[in-house]
Amino acid sequence: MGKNDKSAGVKNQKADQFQALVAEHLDALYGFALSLTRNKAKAEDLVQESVLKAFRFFHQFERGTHIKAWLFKILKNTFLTDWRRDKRHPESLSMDDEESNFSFYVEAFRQSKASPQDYLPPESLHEQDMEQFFGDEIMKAMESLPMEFREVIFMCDVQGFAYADIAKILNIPIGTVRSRLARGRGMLQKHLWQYAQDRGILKRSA
Amino acid sequence: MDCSQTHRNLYPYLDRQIEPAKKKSFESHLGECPDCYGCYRFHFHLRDCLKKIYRHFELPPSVLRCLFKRVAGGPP
Ligand SMILES: [Zn+2]
Repeated sequence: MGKNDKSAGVKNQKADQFQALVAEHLDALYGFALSLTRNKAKAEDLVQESVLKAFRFFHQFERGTHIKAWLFKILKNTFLTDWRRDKRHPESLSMDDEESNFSFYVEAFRQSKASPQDYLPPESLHEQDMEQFFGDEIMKAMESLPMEFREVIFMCDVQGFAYADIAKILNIPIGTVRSRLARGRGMLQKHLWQYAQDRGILKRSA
Repeated sequence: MDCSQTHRNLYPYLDRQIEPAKKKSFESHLGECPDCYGCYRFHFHLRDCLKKIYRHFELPPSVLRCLFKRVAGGPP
């Protein structure tokens, strides 16, 4: 075997090893990219750019550690580099603690207790109804959130990352993960509550 | 654990990040209190809906092929 054949063989082996490790996480990465960019074409580009970057730095990946978290971190950093290059950032974090405590359920519960003749108890919203009533609105509610909240909800609720992993991926303290989750979930539920009010969901028909 | 403590621990529980010492009393409160149980069910299903929406998205096969070709060093 010539020297070139040998190095090509090593390169192929590295590519195969890399592909085998990342393949099962690509859809999750795509979902993450979609939640960040809110645009399919941009999300596809972001996944490609991030995975190629991960391959370039594959030698730095410590075997046996959490590869999904490593890939998420690379994707987020890649996104941030592009995001910072683009100077228009319409999103800014407002400080509204009231949102952290907002709960759709508690609000619906309060209404149904205060005027049972007008409001159904929130327990009447069953699993299937929830999907049927909210459907696309849940996605819209997610997309309406500032990035900082969208990303933690995606990582925690959709992907099931532990708080400590999210903190590492985003390079922020665990307490910030917790408070962003609380704020983001409150905002999401407030959006759905508004939608439910507009559509008369949980209102008793006269 | 009372109702307000249960509310505070709802998401840590759903996130599987509740302190182990609190897990049992959280669960036993849910077993006794229909209001808190309803609240728990609501949040559980809401998260489920969110999961289903995003799990639905798959990286298009054409993108996947192109990506792995580039990883293997071939033209895109
Ligand atoms: Zn209770």
